[in-house]
Amino acid sequence: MHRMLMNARNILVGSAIALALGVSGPVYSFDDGAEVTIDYRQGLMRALGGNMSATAAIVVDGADFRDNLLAHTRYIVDATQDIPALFPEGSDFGETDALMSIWEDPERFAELSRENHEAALALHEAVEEGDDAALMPRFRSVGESCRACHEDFRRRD
Amino acid sequence: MLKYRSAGRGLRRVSAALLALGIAVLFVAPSAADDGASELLRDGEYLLRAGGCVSCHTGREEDAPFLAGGRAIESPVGTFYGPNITPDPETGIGRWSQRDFERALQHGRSPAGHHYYPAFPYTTYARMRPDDVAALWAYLRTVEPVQRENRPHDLDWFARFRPGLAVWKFLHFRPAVFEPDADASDEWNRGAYLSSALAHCAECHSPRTRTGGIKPALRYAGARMAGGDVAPNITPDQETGIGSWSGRHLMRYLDLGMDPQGDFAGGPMGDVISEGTSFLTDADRRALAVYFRSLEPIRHEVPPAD
Repeated sequence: MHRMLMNARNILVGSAIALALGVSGPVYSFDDGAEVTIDYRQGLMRALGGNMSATAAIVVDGADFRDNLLAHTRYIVDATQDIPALFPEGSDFGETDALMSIWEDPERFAELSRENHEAALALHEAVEEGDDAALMPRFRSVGESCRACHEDFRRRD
Repeated sequence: MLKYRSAGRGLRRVSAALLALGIAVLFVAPSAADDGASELLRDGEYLLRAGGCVSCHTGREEDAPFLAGGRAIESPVGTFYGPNITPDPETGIGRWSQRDFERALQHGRSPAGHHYYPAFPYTTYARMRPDDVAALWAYLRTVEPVQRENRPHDLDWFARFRPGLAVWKFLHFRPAVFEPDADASDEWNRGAYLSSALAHCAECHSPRTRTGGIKPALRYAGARMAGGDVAPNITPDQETGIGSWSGRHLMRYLDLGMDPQGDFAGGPMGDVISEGTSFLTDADRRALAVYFRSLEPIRHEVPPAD
């Protein structure tokens, strides 16, 4: 009982201090939603890259991890589900390689994103069905769709 | 697809000639007569890809006519537009002779005697072997002629004075022959030839002097291109170059455009891969990888944009 009261007092004191300092969220928040969005999408793109390079090691170079392939291609499918959602208006500044063309030509961006997702789905299906002959060509088309989008919508620095 | 189209054109042509001569045996004679010719055309088409010609001479729009020009090429002195190199007599190179082509490709001179801007990398093509030049010419004659006017270059005033190019050439251009290194392997020599006589990697991947020549000591050590993109250091320096890339990584990059992190090339290198190096044989991509991994590592960080 005493401990509960102590805890309650600590929470009250803590809240009062927080209010006094004008901090309402987590201590590390700097109220910059766009930067968090950029962090997230860059992390997601790196994860996509990681799964693509792991997939390439298996599919192109025959690394002995065929059993893991499904997990990699599933991630690629999931992560490419809605790429335009990762690029909301206003997330075009600061540490980003995103080009303005994303917001200037959203239809084309959406179309290329969709093609990327469809190519990922086709690759994933080949893995599921055990159609090993289709893996290489389908992996290649996922790569081509990544490049097509980077071509027009990402700065190369 | 193009390969079949051009082979088909060749076959049709030969067939027509034979018909004119009144020879009825269409299925035996043409295949024998066609073998050498179609091999030459195949070589020529391959050289077109190896030389990276498509990325400047075909527009970027999805339905752009093949080799009919129009692609914008950013440069420090303005924007060039790749010209029409289809055999259209009015707007392309249909009236050129093979000699005109050699002079353009290897000496940077137009049939009328004008100097070409070095945005057209004749500085590299100068090293092409004569039989390769002949094959490329033979292939270009078979491309679908497209009537499409060349778009004039959009250059800074001081660069518009073409005779000034004679000075540039005097400073930076020497007609050259590719000399294989007798001590190196055939594979290495093939890579060196592909890079220095065809693919012209050094043109973007090397910083330039004030007068626009490649800095010899920093060849392949990376540069910022006029469009703002970086053409990275492709010498095998561990920190600033591709020292951590294996030969397999390089081959895969030239084929699929994927770097060791699983990231995919965009920008100008994306074009080079899609329209050029992805068409090469694995053996040639391997040769390029062997060559680049053998270079002296140069520590050179491309400076940030102004």
